[in-house]
Amino acid sequence: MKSLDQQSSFFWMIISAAVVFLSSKLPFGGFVSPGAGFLPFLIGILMFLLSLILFVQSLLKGDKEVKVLWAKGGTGRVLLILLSLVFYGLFLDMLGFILMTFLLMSFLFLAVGRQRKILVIPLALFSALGCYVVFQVWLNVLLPKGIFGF
Amino acid sequence: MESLNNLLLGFQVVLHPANLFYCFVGCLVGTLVGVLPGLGAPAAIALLLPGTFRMDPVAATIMLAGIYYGSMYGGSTTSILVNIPGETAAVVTCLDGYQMARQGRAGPALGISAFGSFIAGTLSVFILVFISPPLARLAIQFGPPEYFSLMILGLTILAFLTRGSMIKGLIMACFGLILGFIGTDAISGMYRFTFKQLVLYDGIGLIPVTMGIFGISEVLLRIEAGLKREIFQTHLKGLFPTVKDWTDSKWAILRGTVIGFFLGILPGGGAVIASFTSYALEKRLSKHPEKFGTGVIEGVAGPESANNAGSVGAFIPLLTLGLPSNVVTAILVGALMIYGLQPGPLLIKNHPDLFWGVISSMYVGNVMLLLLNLPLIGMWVQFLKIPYPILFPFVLLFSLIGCYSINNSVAEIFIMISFGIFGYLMKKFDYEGAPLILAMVLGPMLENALKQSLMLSRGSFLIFFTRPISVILFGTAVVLLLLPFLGKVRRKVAIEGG
Repeated sequence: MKSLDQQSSFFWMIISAAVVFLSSKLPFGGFVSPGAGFLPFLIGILMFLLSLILFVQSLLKGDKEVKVLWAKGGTGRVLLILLSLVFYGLFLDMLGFILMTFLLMSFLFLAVGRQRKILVIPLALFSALGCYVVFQVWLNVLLPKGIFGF
Repeated sequence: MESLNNLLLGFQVVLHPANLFYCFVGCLVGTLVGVLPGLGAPAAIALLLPGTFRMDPVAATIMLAGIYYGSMYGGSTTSILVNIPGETAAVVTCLDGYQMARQGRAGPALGISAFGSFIAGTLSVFILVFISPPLARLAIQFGPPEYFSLMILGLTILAFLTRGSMIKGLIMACFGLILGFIGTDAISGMYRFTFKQLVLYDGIGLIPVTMGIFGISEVLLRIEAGLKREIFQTHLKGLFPTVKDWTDSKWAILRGTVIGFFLGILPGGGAVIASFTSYALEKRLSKHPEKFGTGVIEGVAGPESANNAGSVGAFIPLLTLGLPSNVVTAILVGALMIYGLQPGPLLIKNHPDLFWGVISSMYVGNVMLLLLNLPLIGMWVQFLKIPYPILFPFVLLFSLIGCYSINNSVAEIFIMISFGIFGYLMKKFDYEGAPLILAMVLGPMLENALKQSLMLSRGSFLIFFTRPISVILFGTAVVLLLLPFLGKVRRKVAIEGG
């Protein structure tokens, strides 16, 4: 399966089959009084049919487009950023907003921005404290304090 | 007379100092997100939404609306000066706007774009004032079958207008509907697709999904592509267009206004298609169509007027029917519900202060935007120069804080990251996010309308084909679905016929 459309339609076929399967476990009801699974089941089938059409269409077109999906070097940066966001979510409650934001911004400025190291710490500190003042103090958004209490 | 009295009421509301302030904030933030690539109006509104929960609903809605139409003003600045549209609706402005800038006419391009937007915005507000009350009265006669048909039409139009494959647009709409079904079923109280996860019992929030698909994924794609960009160095002078510029642009502005407004009303339409249609029309009507794309001022004036008029027109289905017509109005429907208001035909009767206040704020907002965009254009250009390596970490941080603050829960952050990855892959595989978001909001409404219709008809689907309004709406949806197929058949017949 080389075509992008073939790959994506296959993915949607799996998703829609899962939706149909899960909906079938819910009460279907009848046309007079549709149950919780009625519309999800129908939408799942419709989505499966649409994915099938997309799959057949790209097969008929003989679609074998070669497209560079992943940019050299760039994809690595994207993965690093995603990992840093996941870590931020995992440890935010435990370590608190200010510390986690400082760490995240330091990493992002270094990894994404490639800022000079001398600039990174003041920039990250300013971001963490500035956001704390704006969101926690001014806008009364409750930000996590963590085990260190800040 | 009734409309003028209502408008007067609206001005009383919007001229209250607090509302005036929030209108200004909305316009300012809107222009800013329009100028900055990577953070569009949907992500910005989703980001600020949690901060508005403690605000007065009228002030909050005025501010959120300001962000929407403000971003239309700001979006043109990057199109003209950097050749990167700040907003999708400003894509077409790049064609002639950037060429004008290269020829040393960045000033008149920015000027006509701001004046055109102002004229279109103002005229559209007046049309809105006169058209809304009768439409709201008509909407009261809408029953569940009409609502169901209208929502199906809206989703079909959006899928039809989706760039590339319509099938892909429909798949995204189906997936959006399924996301909308996650959580507790409103009628039976049963949990659907929750996998015993507490965080899913109330459904997936619109804000993390929107911020993931429109905010995080955009940043990831730009970081992957590299962080360099070129800002065209030009001296901004003569922002006021000349008499010749006005002569060339006046009809383009007026045509853009009418096209934009009525395409904006269409469910699934909005500012993007309005700007493209206006450009195509101007090119067709022009005496020198070959010059389009080389820096003609009509190519800037028409689309810029159209996208502003479209953003005003999009408020009609939202305010009169309670149905969103695009991503931004979908978020606004969610916002109104969170504020405890029921968007729909009764909004005008039950909350005239909000209804007319928001409409009048658009007029006031257009004046503010003109003042913000012309004398302060130099300031916006400076914002354009913020390097991506500084800008993107902040976009990511604000998205994280915005998501966390919805429920003070890191689960929202993980939902946002997941949809960020989904949005990133989706764009690589040429799928668009707009049908998904609209369908996600419409999902529960659509299901309720279908169930109520079937209960009314005792299980007969004929109810959708026996009521006149429903037939027209459904018929239009079917025609739109068949159009691509008919086009192919016609081409095949033409080829075979020689």
